[in-house]
Amino acid sequence: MTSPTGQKIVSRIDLMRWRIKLYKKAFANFWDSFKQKKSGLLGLAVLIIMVVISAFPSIFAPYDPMEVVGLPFEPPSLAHPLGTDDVGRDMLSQLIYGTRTSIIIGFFAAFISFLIGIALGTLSGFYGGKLDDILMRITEFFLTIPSFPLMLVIAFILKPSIWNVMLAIAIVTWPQPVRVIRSEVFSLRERLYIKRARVIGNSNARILLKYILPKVFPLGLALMIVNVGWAIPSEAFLSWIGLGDPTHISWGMILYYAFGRGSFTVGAWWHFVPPGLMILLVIIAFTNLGRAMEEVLNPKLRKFETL
Amino acid sequence: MRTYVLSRIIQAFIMIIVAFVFSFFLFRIVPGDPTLAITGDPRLPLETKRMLYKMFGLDKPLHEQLLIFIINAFKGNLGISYQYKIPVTQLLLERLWNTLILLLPATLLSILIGIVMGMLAGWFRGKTMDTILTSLATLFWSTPSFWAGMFMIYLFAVRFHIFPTGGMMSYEVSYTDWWSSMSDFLHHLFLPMVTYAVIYSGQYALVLRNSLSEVLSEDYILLAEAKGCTEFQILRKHALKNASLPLVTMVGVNLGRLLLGSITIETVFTWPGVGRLVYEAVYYHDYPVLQGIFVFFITVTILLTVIVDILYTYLDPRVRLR
Repeated sequence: MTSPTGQKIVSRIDLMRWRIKLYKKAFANFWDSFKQKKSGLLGLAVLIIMVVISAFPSIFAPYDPMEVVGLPFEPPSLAHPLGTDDVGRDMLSQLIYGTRTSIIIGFFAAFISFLIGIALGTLSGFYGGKLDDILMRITEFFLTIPSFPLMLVIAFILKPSIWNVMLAIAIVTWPQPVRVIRSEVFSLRERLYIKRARVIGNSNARILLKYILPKVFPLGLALMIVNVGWAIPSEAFLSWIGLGDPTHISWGMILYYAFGRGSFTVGAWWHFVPPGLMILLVIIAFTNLGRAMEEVLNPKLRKFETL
Repeated sequence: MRTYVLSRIIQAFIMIIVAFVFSFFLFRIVPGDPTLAITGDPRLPLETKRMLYKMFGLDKPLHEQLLIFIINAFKGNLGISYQYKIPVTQLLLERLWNTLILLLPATLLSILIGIVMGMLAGWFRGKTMDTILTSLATLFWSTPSFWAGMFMIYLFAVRFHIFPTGGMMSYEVSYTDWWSSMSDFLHHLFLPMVTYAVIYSGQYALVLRNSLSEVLSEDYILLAEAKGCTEFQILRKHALKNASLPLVTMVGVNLGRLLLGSITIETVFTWPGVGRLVYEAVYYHDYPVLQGIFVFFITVTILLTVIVDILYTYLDPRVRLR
């Protein structure tokens, strides 16, 4: 450090290289244990397929989802692999564009609660004291209130739009990640290397940013993935009951129309079965992926084998 | 012990008051003129508006309104429905019976299915039977209840005409004797009840399976085996009792999901219960009804959580000692 400036730069680059190496090694370690979890890999595959579909829906969809291209309630055929809805729009195209909306809403809602979880969880776990007390009381309150009625009421009070649906879902999901991350930070705080970092004169903010945050970040990510698997059916529920955004097609909106127009009473199974199966697939995939990640990252959970 | 019960009850009471305050302010965020929501007419003269404000107590300061709201909520007065023009409490009580008639047998049935599935999966853990049952339970647990309801109606009512599509009774028929009306009611009850039970059995099965496989690796099970107990005896006498403890908390904790089931299943099957009332309130923008049901749901949840907690201390001596 005391040597000329040139040497300092070199050492810094070395430090960075070393750090990158460390991260690479950590990721390789993670991947080695993750690889053995078949359910996690399957979930990852579903996630990638869904993201690709929602990134380029126009490539996969044969028609414009809003355009009337056939007769009402046409059963599945070569021209329309999943039939048509009550006004004659192509169901496959709607399903593909619906994937986009559902995935975006699911990810954003989970992302909001991920951010809140990371921020409040680390602060609460690190500083403890009064702040922790107050935050824990608030999360306790939100965890006691039945989540679905609360979500419904919030979505009902706000105007129906995809942003408000996301907000309603996020308001209900944030306490869980806060709690998990808080208890993780709680145990991290007592570790020797954190104490050592403090002794050599690191400030609280520096310890938080440098040592604690990178440690809890992967766990937060795992929780976020689990939450996506929760947010997507929640969106479907809100849209289905009539609180969704009518300008965007999502799986929930398809089910809303299928329910409102009585597709299931006229026997048009192709109108409501595919979106339901997609939701089912997403829940199973994301829950398994998130749990597999959590199990790898959090050895305490390893004894609970999931599917 | 007594102090624990007392402190839990006081906690619950505070929690309920906080929840009332919370829902009071939650419904205050609603943008727009409340008189518009009541009458649906934007051309209302100013005097009528003032009269309505006075009638509903909206001219009073906010803290006074809050106090009135809380006192009224405790008295059971939750306002008047915009759509039905009758007190919300009356509406709620009428619908509550229908909900209970559906939910109680359905919940019992789901616990029963869950216990059987979880028991078999836990007993045969690691074998094919376990894989099949756990996959099935995960499938049930993941299925959106409203979609399952639509699917069941399509399959059993529309396709095969075995059960009616919805409602509690057939309206077009008048019954002469008690038995035929009862059988018609049961005919209507069957499909929503089974749908609900199957969907919610998954979580019970998964929890029981996990706790059973944990209990079965304990030392006292080994001891029982060494004593020469048969497998069935071990399961019935030693393992199941301890393994089913988490199920008790499950019932309390997952009340939120049960309420969701009540909303979705009742809506799909046009069952005239509280859940269907939620759907109607959303559809007709009936704020007082929604607020009333929300307050009611929260109160019930908090009370049930306390009851389950207290019950748990009686069932599990390890908790009692602390």
